[in-house]
Amino acid sequence: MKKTFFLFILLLGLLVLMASESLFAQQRYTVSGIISDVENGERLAGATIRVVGKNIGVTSNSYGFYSITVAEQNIELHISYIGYAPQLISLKATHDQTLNIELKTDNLLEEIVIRESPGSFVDDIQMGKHSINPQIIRNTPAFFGEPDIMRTMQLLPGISRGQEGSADIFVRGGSPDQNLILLDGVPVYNVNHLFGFLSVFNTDAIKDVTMMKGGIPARYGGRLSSLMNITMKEGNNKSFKGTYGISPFAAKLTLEAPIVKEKASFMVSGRRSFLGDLLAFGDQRYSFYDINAKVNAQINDKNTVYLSYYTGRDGYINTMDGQKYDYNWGNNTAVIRWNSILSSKVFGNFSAYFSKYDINQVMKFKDNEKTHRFESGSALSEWSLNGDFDWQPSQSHVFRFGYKVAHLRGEPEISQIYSSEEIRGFTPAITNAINTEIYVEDAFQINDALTVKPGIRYSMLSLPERTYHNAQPRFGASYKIKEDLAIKASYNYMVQYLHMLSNSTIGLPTDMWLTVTEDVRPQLGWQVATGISKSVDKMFEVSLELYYKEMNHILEFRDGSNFMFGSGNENWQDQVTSGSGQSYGAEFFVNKPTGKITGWFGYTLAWAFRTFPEIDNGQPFPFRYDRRHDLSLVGNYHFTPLKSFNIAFVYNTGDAISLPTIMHQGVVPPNWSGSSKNPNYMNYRTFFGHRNSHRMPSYHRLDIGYRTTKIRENDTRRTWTISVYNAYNRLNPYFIHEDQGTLKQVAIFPILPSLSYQLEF
Amino acid sequence: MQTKRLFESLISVFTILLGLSSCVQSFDYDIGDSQPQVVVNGILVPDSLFKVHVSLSKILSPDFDFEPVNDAHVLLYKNTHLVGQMEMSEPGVYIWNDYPQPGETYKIEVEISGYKKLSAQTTIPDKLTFSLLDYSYSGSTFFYNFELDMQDSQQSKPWVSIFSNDYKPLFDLNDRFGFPRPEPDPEPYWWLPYFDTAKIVTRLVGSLESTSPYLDDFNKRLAPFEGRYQYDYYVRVRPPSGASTVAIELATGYNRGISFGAYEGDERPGVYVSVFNADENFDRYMKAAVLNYTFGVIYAPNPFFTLQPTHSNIQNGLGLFASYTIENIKLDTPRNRRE
Repeated sequence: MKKTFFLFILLLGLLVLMASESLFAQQRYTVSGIISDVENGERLAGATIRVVGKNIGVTSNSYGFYSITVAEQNIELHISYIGYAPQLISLKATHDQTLNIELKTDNLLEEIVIRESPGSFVDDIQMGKHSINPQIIRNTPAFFGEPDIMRTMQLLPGISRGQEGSADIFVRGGSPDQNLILLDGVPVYNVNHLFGFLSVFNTDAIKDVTMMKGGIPARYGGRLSSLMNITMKEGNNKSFKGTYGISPFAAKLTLEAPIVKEKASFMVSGRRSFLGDLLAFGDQRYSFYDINAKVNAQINDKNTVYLSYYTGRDGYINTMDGQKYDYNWGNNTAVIRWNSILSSKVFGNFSAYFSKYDINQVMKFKDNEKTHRFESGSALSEWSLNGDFDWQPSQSHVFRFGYKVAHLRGEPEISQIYSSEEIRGFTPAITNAINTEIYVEDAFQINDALTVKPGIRYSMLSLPERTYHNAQPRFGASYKIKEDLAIKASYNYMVQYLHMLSNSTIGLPTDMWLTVTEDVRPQLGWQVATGISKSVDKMFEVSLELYYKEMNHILEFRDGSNFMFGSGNENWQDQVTSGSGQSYGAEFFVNKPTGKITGWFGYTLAWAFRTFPEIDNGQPFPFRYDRRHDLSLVGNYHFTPLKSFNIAFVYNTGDAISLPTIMHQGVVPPNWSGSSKNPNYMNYRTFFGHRNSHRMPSYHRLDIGYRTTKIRENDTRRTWTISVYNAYNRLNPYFIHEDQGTLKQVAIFPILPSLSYQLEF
Repeated sequence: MQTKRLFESLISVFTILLGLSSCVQSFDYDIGDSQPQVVVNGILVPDSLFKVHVSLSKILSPDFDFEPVNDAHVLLYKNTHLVGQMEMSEPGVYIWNDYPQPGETYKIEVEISGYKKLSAQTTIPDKLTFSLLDYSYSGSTFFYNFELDMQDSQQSKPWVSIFSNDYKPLFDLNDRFGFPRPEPDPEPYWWLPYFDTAKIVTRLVGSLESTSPYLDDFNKRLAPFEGRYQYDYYVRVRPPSGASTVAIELATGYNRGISFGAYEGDERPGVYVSVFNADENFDRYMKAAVLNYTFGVIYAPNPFFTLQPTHSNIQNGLGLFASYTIENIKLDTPRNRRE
């Protein structure tokens, strides 16, 4: 590993040298600035700026900043961005200059040209990347009327859903905990509301989302499988705007307005379920809420400060039988960020954030006039200081480098029992760790056709009695065979200092996040991928990617132990076993981002396995979501820019499961004499064979939706969305269980129509 | 009780959410066909003759009769020396007219035409000394203090349960839903509201609670009742490091009255605490069986629990060849809760 590290340092040094040489070759000027939306001032990440007639182009970074260096004095810049009308700007480059650009959305133009694109562009060196904006999410048929980013993601190749209805994602054979999900740069651990039927991300508060399934750049680290970068809206800095929406699950309200016009603004968005209130069953009540808030202030032309906050919580209260039982769980994140244009070539982003996921249970009751209170909880929290820099020394290089220093605190499960006479309980070892990371990467355009992106991330996790060091090399390359055809390759080595122990296959709040310890090692993984991208008649984007991934030191509960049913274990480390995973496959993707008909088709052919020495005699077994074939088709027909019809069809191979298909004579334990629930239970035993050696029936489903918007004279917009989930009422299996010698399949989502309403003012 | 409540709550919320869609549907799942395998079950207990059951497995079905194998040659070995060929005493049941001895290793080989030779072995664990030191009760809850002597503590795998050998259920909660009551119709017992339907027809007392530090975690839950931990049906005792005796405190927090009040006639029921020392294979079998019963049967259908594979140590076949030693202590309990 050390050798690899030094090789990369050497390589990067050479690249810097080459970049510096090119600087002195001739007189050049730099044009830099911020690209934003003319309507609301939102900064646009990923906008493309090209010099017309030259093969020179850059894209804006996550904060809308771009920097382009040119030699000529008279140039024309072409600026384009998904869903916005392109702009052409002529200028005379005689000195370094700042050029802030405002783009206008094009969906109000008379001509119907809808641009939606979750796909990769031929020009983008990044592999396995999908960019999603709220327009795409809203134009995907909704589940119970709630458009959801995670469900839209599940329709992309290489990204699988878990159990039906769950918002979890499984990327290229990885587990949900291996996805780094960032909300304004802050990791979010639990993504599920309401048993996973909804994700915690409120679409109304989202500006854009980027997903990377492989070739993850060095500037990101901490998870093995994927990166999902969600950016919250900044808040309209030109006028007051609001959105109100209601669906069968929840109601939500978003407000945004300038604090100082075009200088400072805020956005606040809240969502709360009312399902539990309407359907309060007995003395039980279930509810969830989430709040997103963001404030930004442009201090001057070069400095902007952001403050983002997110909180979301699910809660269940039961007051039956004189007892009060309160069970709640959720995330809290907060970040203060300072963007600074340090020079026309250097952009700095400094942040300090806090993120916490916690589960709490409280139970109170009286027994013989004594009051008892039981409390237990589990939490993972992180404090982090970060610095990220973009440096574009020449047109052919974009360096990114930075650091992160974080404090991780893992509290596996703390339980306390209070009674009138005594206090007892236990506190398992709390883990405190310092995580230090540095990285550097360079996007190096070697010539008009070939671009490479080497990078390395070095991470160190310090525990009281052990320190883990890891160098994580990354590499990406893109070769443009023709203007509309490119081949790409990538390699990434990833390290994850967190584990998640999951107790079930659905989005239960009992998932326990844990830091590594002196004995439980970090997860390690690497992935290599190659692919080809082609643009067809500027109407279709087609890509094919092949990947191979390995994962080591992943954790599972040992047979016979888990958190939910074995609670009270002083040491969770004794309950787990470590193993490895392997996955490989091919992803085919066709995207039609423009026109009256938009949508995409994705197909994945994949294999995914797990191997644990202590499970199934160390034999590899299929991962539960090892789906050989996974197909999705998403289509939108735009009657007008304000009316559209949407469909989504999915098909995949059934999940791999262990089934008791054979029964045989059992052994009755001493003193056992049967039970009213199943009197024969001990007289027979069932036999599972190898783990996950059976398949559920294939899964397929069609969702349809219709969305119509009316614009009133006072510029308010009213949108009605009708969705039908599982339109042809396919009874897909949710789980299969054995009951008195027979197997029963339970399907829980038949045809589900829903209606939602949104008012924008 | 705490996690049980959590579990029940999750199940109920989940069920109501599913009920919104009114679509929980069950239907038979086609599992195809497969060749039957030979199943050998033999649990050796020093107080019982050697007995081995040989049968065939079958595709999962609601019929719990298994085809016995009557033409098997079952050879019994003691410490690698052939003892003899076991004789069939009834269809599929092979016996040897002797008793297993603690500390000895026994092996069986089973030959059946058309199948590979099956084999398995077990070492009979030592009998443990188990003493009831004292007991008390408060309200309808009983507390017992035991001492368990484990001479070879690291090898022992003791299990504890409380049961009533004479208990005959006069009626159970199902009566209230239309099941016929036995004659003569008993007068209602005051503890009827405390009945737990799942437990009343089993002789096991059911959930036990304890604060003893030497109890295994596998089926342990946190229970707020007097700050104790709760166990389902059987309590597995964890061998202490460096100690040969273990103090165990048990309380019957649930099912109060079942073992101590419900009996027919004048004869007092015998309420026992049983401790059995299992070998490795029986221990593994028990753990899976208890977990699967608790969460796979009592709460079925249960999407939150994955059934544990049943342990088998039969080479080239299925089943269990294992052993345990057992000791019972009769408890001195009140005659009747109405007294």
